[in-house]
Order: sequence, then C-alpha cells, then structure tokens
Amino acid sequence: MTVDISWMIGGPQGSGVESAANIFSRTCAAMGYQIFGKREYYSNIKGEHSYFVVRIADKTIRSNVNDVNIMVAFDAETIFRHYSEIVKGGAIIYDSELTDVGADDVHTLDPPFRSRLLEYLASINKKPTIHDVLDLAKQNGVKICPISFKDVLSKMADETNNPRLKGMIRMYNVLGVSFSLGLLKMPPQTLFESIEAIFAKKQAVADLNKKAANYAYNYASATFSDYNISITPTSKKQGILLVQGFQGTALGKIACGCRFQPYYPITPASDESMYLESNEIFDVENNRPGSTLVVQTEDEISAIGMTIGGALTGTRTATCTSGPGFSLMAEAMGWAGMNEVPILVTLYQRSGPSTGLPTRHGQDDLLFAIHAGHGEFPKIVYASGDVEESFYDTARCFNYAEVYQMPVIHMMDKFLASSVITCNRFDSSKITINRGKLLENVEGDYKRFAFTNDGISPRSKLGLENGIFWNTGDESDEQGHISEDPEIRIKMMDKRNSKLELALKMIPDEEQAVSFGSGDVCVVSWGSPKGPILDALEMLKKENINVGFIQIKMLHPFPKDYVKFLLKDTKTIVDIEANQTAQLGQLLDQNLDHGPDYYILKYTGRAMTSTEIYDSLKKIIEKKAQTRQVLTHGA
Amino acid sequence: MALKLGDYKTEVHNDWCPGCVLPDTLIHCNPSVKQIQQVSVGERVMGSDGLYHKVHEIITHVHRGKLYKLITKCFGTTYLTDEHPVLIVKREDQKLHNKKFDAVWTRADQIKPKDYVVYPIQKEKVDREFIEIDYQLKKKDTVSRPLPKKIPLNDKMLRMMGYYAAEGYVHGREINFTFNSSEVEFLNDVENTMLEIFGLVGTERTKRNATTITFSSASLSRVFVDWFGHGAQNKKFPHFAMLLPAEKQKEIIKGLWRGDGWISKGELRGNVKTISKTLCEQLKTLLLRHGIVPIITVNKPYGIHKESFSIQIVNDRDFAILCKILDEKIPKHDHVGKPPSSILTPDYVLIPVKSVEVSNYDGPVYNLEVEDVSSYVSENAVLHNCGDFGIVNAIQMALSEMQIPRHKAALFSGIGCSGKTSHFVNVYGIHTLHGRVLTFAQGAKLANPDMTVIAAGGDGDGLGIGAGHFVAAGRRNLDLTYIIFNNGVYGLTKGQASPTLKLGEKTKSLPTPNTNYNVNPIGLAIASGFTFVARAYAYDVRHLKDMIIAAVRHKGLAFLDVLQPCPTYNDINTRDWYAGMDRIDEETKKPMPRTYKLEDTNYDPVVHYDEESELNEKLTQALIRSLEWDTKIPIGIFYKNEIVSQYDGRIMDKIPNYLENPPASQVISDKGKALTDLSNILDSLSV
Repeated sequence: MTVDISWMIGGPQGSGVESAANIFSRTCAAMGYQIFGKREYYSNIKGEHSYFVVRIADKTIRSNVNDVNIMVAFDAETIFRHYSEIVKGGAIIYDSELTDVGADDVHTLDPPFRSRLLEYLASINKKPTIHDVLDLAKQNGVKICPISFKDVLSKMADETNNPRLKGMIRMYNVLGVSFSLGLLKMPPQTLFESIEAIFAKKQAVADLNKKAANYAYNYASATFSDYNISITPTSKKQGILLVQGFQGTALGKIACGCRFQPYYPITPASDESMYLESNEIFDVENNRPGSTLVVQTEDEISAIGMTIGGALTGTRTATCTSGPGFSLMAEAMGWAGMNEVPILVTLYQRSGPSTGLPTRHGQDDLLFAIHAGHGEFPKIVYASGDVEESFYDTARCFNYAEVYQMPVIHMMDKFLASSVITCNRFDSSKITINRGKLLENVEGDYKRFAFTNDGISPRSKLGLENGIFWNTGDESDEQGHISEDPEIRIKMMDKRNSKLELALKMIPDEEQAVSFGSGDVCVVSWGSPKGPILDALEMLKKENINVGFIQIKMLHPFPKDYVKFLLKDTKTIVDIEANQTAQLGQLLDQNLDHGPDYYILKYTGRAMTSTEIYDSLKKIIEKKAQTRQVLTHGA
Repeated sequence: MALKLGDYKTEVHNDWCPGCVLPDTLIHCNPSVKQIQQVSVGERVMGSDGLYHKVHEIITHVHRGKLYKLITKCFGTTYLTDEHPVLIVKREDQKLHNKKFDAVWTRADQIKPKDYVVYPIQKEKVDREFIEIDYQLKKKDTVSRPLPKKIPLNDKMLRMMGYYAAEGYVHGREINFTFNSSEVEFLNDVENTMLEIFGLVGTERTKRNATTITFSSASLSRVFVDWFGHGAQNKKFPHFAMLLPAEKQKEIIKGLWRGDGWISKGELRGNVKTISKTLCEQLKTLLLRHGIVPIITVNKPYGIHKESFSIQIVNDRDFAILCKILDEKIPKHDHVGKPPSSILTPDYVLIPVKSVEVSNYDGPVYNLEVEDVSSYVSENAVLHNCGDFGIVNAIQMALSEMQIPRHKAALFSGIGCSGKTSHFVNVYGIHTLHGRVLTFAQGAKLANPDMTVIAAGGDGDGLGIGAGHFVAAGRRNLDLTYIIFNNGVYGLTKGQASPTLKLGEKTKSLPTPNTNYNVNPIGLAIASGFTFVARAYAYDVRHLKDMIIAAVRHKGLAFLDVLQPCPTYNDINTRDWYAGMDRIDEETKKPMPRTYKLEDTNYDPVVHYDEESELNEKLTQALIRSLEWDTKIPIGIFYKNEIVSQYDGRIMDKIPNYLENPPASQVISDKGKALTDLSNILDSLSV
C-alpha cells in the first residue's frame, strides 16, 4: 500500500506547533518515510495563528498537496481556518473544550477572513461555532476526535502520581503528536526514541515526555480503535537526513570554507546565521579545529560592509539576508563589484514590497537582485530549487565569486527556509573548492587590477607581503588609485563587465540550467517551485501526459543560448513563479525569441502545492486556461 | 631594514594638500644652506624671526599640477605649489612704496608682482673669543705640528677665513691660498696670520701672474675641510662664524671681497662671484646684517665654467656701507645711482616681487614642520610650515615611528575630503563608502586580527550618515583606531553644515544659520563604549602623530577627534581662531591659543582598576572636559580604559583558538578538495 499522508498541526504561535511538528517529522522519518514539512505563521511573537503541515510518503516527495488527512488543533482558530481542507476519511483531533467556541470569541481571526467565514456559514444555515463547522467536516466523511487535553493530563497525573503534570500545557505538543500516532496505530517505540533524541541533553524532560507520550498514545489508540487508516514502518534507507531548509546553505558554507559571516537579524534569513553560530566550531582534516566567526551587526549595511572587509583578507565571507536587508546592501554591492571583491549574499526572499508579508513566501526579488546597486557592474545571481541543491550550490557560488571576482547573490526563499525535509546525506567530497586567482605570495610590482587577457587580475589579500593594493568606489587605475581618465574608464568598465561573458562561457551548462525533459509543453521556472512542479509533473505522467521542465539556476548573466537550445522543441512555454509580475517571464521575453505563453503565479505569500500546479497545467493542456493563472491555496 | 617615512608614501598626487616647494629649494639651515630634500629631522633652520628652530618633520608627497615660480627683485627664484603660504606685504600702490607694512601669509597663487616678500635678517648671535678645535693626529702623522686647541677669533683670523673662502683650497695635507701676484698685502696678511695663530710657515710659488702660498699640516687641512667644505662648489663659512656679531663679521666680508670680489668706485658697484651657492647665501646673510641688500644673479655655465653666482651691490646706499666695511674711501661723486628697490627695517628686508609665473609639474614636493615659528627661510622668501595636510602626514609618521610593516597595516577611509587619505599612504588602502568606513574596517580586522587597522573619515561621514556604526563599533571594542577629521562642514559638496557645527552658526557657505544642535564627538564616543578617546589639532602635527601612535597602541577601540580648520568653507573655526589671533594677551601682546593639552594639566585619563567608582569618575571627568569649548579647548587623551574586555577576547570565550587560527589563516582546501569534516553535524541530523 502506498502511503501519502498530510498531517497538520495548528495553534497559536508559541503553543508548541513547531516542536510538535519536529517530533512528528522525526518519528516518521525514523520509520523510513520521506518527509516534506512546511511552517506558516504570522509576523508576531506569540498568539497568532501558526500551523505546520507535514506530508509523509513512502516515495519521493518534494512539496505539499492541498489535501490534509489528519489535523491536530490546539485552538478554535485552527479549526475555523482549516476544517474544509480535511479530506474524506481523514480525522480532526481537537481539544473537546473548544466545542462551544464561536467565531466571535476568536479575536485573532482577522476581519476579512471572519466575514468570509460568517457569510459562508450563514449561506448554508450553519452557526459560526466549532460544533457546527466540525459537523460540516463530519458530513464530508471526516472522523472527529474530541479529546480533553486537560482531562488527559489530569488523569495521567493521577495515574502516574505526578501532580505537576496537571497544568502542564507545555506538554500539549507531545500529546498532539502521540494522539496522532495512536490514531494511526503507528508503533510508539520510534516516537519514544525521537523524544529521547530531541531532549538528549535533558534526561528528566525526556522521561516526562516519554511518559506523557505513552499515556496519550494508548489513550488515542484505545479511544479511536475504529479508525481505519494505519501506518506501519517501511524499509528505511541509510544516510537520510532530516533537515530544515536553512541548514542546507549553512552546511554548504561550513563545508566550502566560509569562515566569516556578519549578519543582521531578519525573517526568514537569520535562522541560517544562528545555525552557523551554534555550529561555529568543527573539525578540519589535518588541521586545527576550524571555526566560523558569526557576528551580529547593527544593520545590514554594516553586515555587507564587514562582509567585504572580511573578503578583502582572503577569507571566504558571506552574509545572509532577506529583501528589506538586501535593499540596504545595494550600494555596497556596487562597491564590491567595482573592486572585484568575492562576496556571497544568501538572499532568503520573502513577500515584499517594503515589509510586505514578512513571514510569508515570495520570489519577488529576482529582478531587484539582478539590478541591485547603481551603475553597471558585474554580479552573478544564482538560484537553488531545493534544500539539497542549496548545499552544493553554496559551494558553487563561492567558487564563482572567487574565480570571477565579483559578488554572487544566492537566491533562496522563505518556502525553502521553513520547510523540513528528508534528503540524502550531504556529501562534502562532491564539493570542489576553486579559489581562482587568489595569490599566496607576490613577487615584483603588484597591480590589483592589472589588465589581463581574460579580464581577471591576480588577487592579493590584506596582510600579504608585497601585495599592497588600493580599493576605491571611484573609478580607478590598475593599482586601484582614483582615475577619471576616459581611456582608463573604458578599459576598466570593459574589463569588469567582460567577466560576465567569461562566466557564461566557463561555467558548465548543467550548472546554469537543468532540464527535466522537454515536450510540446514545457514549464520554465526558478527556485522553490521546482519541488511542487516535479511532483505535479509526476501526477500528470500517471495520466500519460508528458510535460517538460527547465529549471534555470543562473539568472544573471542569463544563459540565453543554452536555454534557447533546451527549449528548441517546445511549442508552449509555461512560466511558474511566486510573484505577481512574472519576473523570470520578463527575462525570458528579453532573452528568447519566444517568451512564455502561459503564466502560473502565486503571490499570497503561501507556498505552491503540487495540487495547484497540477490543476493549472491540466487546464493549459486542455486548452481551458487563461494566459495567467493566479494560485490561492493556503490559509 | 628600518622603514623610512618615505616608504609609507604613495605616488598619488595629494590634491587637497597645499603648500610645498621643489626638492632642490635652498633652505637656510644651521649649519649652512641646504636643499630641502637634504634637511633632516632635528636640524635647525632659520625661521621668520631670524632665529634658528628645530625641524620636527619633513613632509613630502607627489604634486601633479600647477607650480608657481616666485621671482623677487633681489634674491632670485623659488618654486611653490599654488597654496603654499609666503610671508608677504601687499602692495598698496603700484608706483609708490607702501607707508604701512603689514605682513600676512599669502598663498602663492595670490601673490602679485610688486608685493613685498618679507625676508628676515639673521638675529641669532653667539659672540665668542675663541673656537676650540678638536682633532687627533693620525697615528702615522709624525710631520704635522701640533695645533693649538683654542683658536682666537680675532680680526686677523676672521679676515683669513674670508681669504680662504675666496681663494683657498686644501690639497692632500696642504692648505693653499692663491692670489694675484700683485696682491702682496693679502699674501703677507695670510702668511702672518697662519704663522701667528697656527705656527705654520708658508712656502710661496708663482706661476704666471698667480702666487700660491702653501701651508703643510694634515691636521689643519682636516679642520679647514670641516669648516669650509671640500671643493670650490661646496665652499661655505663655518656656522660659528655666521653667528658672530655683525661687527666682527666685517673682517670676514673684507677677506672674501679681497679674494673674490671687486668694487668700481667709478660706477659705485661691487661684486663677488662664487660657484658655491651656499657661500653666496651666507654672504647675503652677512651683508643683510650690515644693511646691505645685494642682488643675486645666476651666471649660466659656459664652456669649462660652472654655474656661478654673482652677489652685486648696485646702489649708492649699499655701496657706501660696503666701502666702510672694506676700509675703502667712499669716492666723491655726482653719480646718482639706482635707488634701492628694497626697503630695510631692523628685522626684515622687504623685497618687491618681480614676477610670478605658472607652470605644470609632476613630481615630488617638500615641506617642513618647524618648531615655534612654523616657518622657514628659503633663498628668497619666508615659507610657512605644513599643516593643512597634517593628518595624512601624521598617519605616515606614526606608522614610520612604530615601524609597522607596510603589508601589516590597512588604512580605511570614508567619503569626503578625508576619503582620499588611503590613497596617499603606502599601506593597504581601502577607500570605502560614505559613512561605512567602520564596517569595512571592522570586517577586515575580525577576519585578520593580525592587521593594524586604521579607519579615517570626516565628521559628516562618521557622525552623520555613519553615526549608527560609530555607536555600534563602540559597543564592540575591537582593537582598531578611528580618526575623524572634524571641520564642521561638508567640504566636497560645497560646505553644508556637518553634525559638529554648532547650532546657530553660519559659515560663509551656508545661506542661513545652522538649525541643528551639534553632536559632541568625544561625549558620544565615551557614551558608546570607545575605550580610548582623544583629540588632536591638525596644525599641531607632532602632537597629532603622538595621539595616533597612542591610539594605535591602545588595546581596544580608539577614537581620535582631529580638529581641522577647513580653509575653504569654515570661516568660523579657522586656523587663526584656533590660534587665538582674536585674543591678544594684554601683557605679552601675544595671541592666546584656544587649545590646551590635557597632558599639561594634572588630568589623568586612565581607568586604573576595575571598580565602578573609578570607572564613573574617569567617565565623568572626560564628559565634563568634552563640554569645554571656545576659549578652552582640550586636546590630548580624555579617556583610556584597557580593563574592559576587547571584542577578540569575547570571541575567544566562544572560539578559544580564534586568535591563533583566525578566519583569514584557516586552510579550507587542498588541491580543490574541501577539508572541513561535517560528519558530527550531519550525524546529529540523521534519522
């Protein structure tokens, strides 16, 4: 039997949604399942609605789907918002004390949603209460599983003679997971092991949680013994990691020798820096212990300034930010471009403009990244499509930065950052490190910006004997001293910008764009839609519909010729991306003879699901689609 | 090998560095006259007051641009950069001499023909009856007679010195004087003097019309070479002779004139010709002390003749004085000679400017820092000290004094008048973005803590657009130095108010008075956590250099606020204002400078021990001093605390081997292979 189940847990921010999802994901992964999880939350510290969807399957999965099978609701809001997503045969586990709560009692329901909900319920003669909406779910064939969390805790406290347990709402997360596993009759042993692993450093907490898990598991499996979906462990592959999205780029940085990262806190990028900092000391072969210096700065301007300063010493230096922070870095990008400083900016995009939807997903910043900074200077913009790729791409980006001596912007996004996935163990031996023309010693007269055949000058670094150089944001001569001479200006501009042509020529095609087969209809996309697209294409394939997919990774300089080549047999191009103005589509229009015919766009701030993409592509194939389809799924 | 100051200079033209002269400009030194490029620190040069003063520093840089050739009526030529200040009396009327003579420092490009160059008459005087000579017989020298230890400086001796300067030379162990055979009186004079004073008997030898009298003494030959130089081109008078009272020096002039000169009683002219420029300048000095203003001309070399210099007396006034010195009768005459073009005062001679010519130049120029008088005397003018570009030079001097290897130092600069600083210094120079200099500098220091990092920027750069970084840097306390060039205006954008300009002040570039309160840089630095806070004044380059050294040596983040008059846009806090030119002390009649040095008071800026009371006391006193302004502006160290932990120490709490294995030193790959071992981290993520 194939397993493909989506499990959702929701509650107010700070109620343990994330840790519950973590325990559940780990337990399922340990049973041999593939995991794709994704967190959605409001921009606040505590109280507003947040939820986590974990999809588990015994095949490769790369995205979420629209349908939810099991939902665990810590609060009424979760039920009001998501009851309709639970499919027939699914189940809702909720705190029975919520039954009488009305929509008006939930003050965190925002007015537009509330009025849509009330309007709908009134139209079908239902009252806006938990009772009534659960009724609707029940009518749809969903099993309703009310459990009094409080009672369970209290009974458990009595039975285990541990009165402290009574008021411990912190235990709700373990209860939620354990109820789910009991309902699905998954063997509890793995759950206990996962708890053990997660609380490895706090044995007492682990023990308490295990007791609670055991009790809750037995309670649910006894109470809902009639539920007919069950999950048994499957064969487990070796060398599987359960990683969160931001860990891919962080580990990539450690592996490829990034030793300095200044950053300023911003959602969703700072998780990466904090993860780097919590793993700041590590082993290096045949060497002393290595370390990454992570410095929190006063703002993103300082972060990029320090990044450049660090890179000038020959240290692989990166920073990590999101749209608003990147806006502040724009001026310094030009300086780095002008002075040919190899820096890496990992850009975790979120929905803009301005503060936009600060905790939500978006791919709004492609054209901004390409054009960031005034004046004309070279930079590389490179995008990863999933977490596993992002590990290896980080190392590539650093090589590009050092070989071509220019800033590289590595495009990531909130969808990638906040997903939890199972993937193959990252393999550092597949990484090569190319430091380009970095000098280790200098003899004779040194000129930092010496004119060379390929436009790339040997690069000295601060502290290198005989390697003294000058940098300036002004136009400069070969030594780096200010020059406004018209002839030098032409030569220097040409030297710097010619490196883009060189990069396109030298970087292997398969690093620039990846083809997953082509056909009459071919999807062209970049970044995180890759997962949902591939899942959707598999769904279509089951119906014997073949659709091609080109993932463009090198967005600037644009691999025009190679993309043209890949699309030579395509009749219909479908552009899929998470923004409103189809930014990749604009690049395709500029660079190809024939731009996209269709656009599938999403800018609600929520990630695309494979279901949505499947549906939209189907419409295109059936010639029922509008040129532009806007996706809306997700609360 | 020790690094010299010049090693820290680049060849970049310093376009905001005014005031310099060509390397071969002759400077009146003690002893002798020297090209400015040969002057060294510690030597003494003549200042505008006619006394000799110590040279603190020699400044040199590359000048690419205009050069002004200042030609005066009497003394020849000096080449100056356009902004170099020269002591000048402005001519009021083109045809008549001035009635009032107020000397002002005037930029070279603003000097007009007929203005008067103010040239000092040597005031320094040391009378002595004897000169002691210190010599040792060479071991093998069994021939030389022992010389007297004390040589009397009587008329005979001085006249003999004049003869020697004109006609003498040393050849091996022989001292020779050559006269025209008819000049028996002079020959006898020399012979008698040498016998009387040194006990040496001369031998004469005549060839054609010339008679040479030779004295054999290896010891005295060495003394003479020492006193008078070697070779005709290097002839000079010993310095002790130059310092004797004018009355005694008459004999020197007499001897010299008899040897090398002539007078024409018919034309009422006198002339001395020499191929030694030094001797020419010295004779000029001697003559000026007697009220004679000679005219100096250069005779171009021709054939076997070298370039020579004529010291001419061309007017009646001067000729009469010369005759008195030479014991010649002034002829009765009805000749009306040229009126003197110069004007004599007791301390100065005022010489009209003949012309100022402009040309282009690309090469090194020099300037000096001179104690007390901030000026020095060239062959035809009094030149002002360095100053405006003192900060760059102070940085170079500080690096040189600390002998920091060039590749171990990095100078970061911001955008503004100060921005180009990094291009003038021959260490790593990173000219960054407006307001961001500290961020780049800290990044480099963090990645490579082995570097000596200095950041420099303007007040707008650091306290306006970059104020956030200023405060944040203070909290970190990284071991680097931050220098702010504080001039109160935004110079590059034509003089808008900067954050340090006082509320209500209106500099000449502002259309209306400043509407913002000023930031207190010292106070802000202290409040932000800087652990070394000091102030210096740009025109006191030596103190500035000392402050830079103290800042660099400080363990932790050092802030140096440099008060820098902006001659172009800030007409309030000018150099004269700082010097207190508007505040004349009634008793001494001298200006009372506005700045004072904290180290000259009993102020102790150092936090000595780790106690709150000590810390609070030192912080408070620094804040109180930071509020002083106007008539009492403290410079020096306000606050110094090495007890607070430095940022690298804080890093080492987390990464113990940070300093021995900092980011820049870590080996990350071997032939392209990544060396980092991720297995521990990956294991923790495995399921």
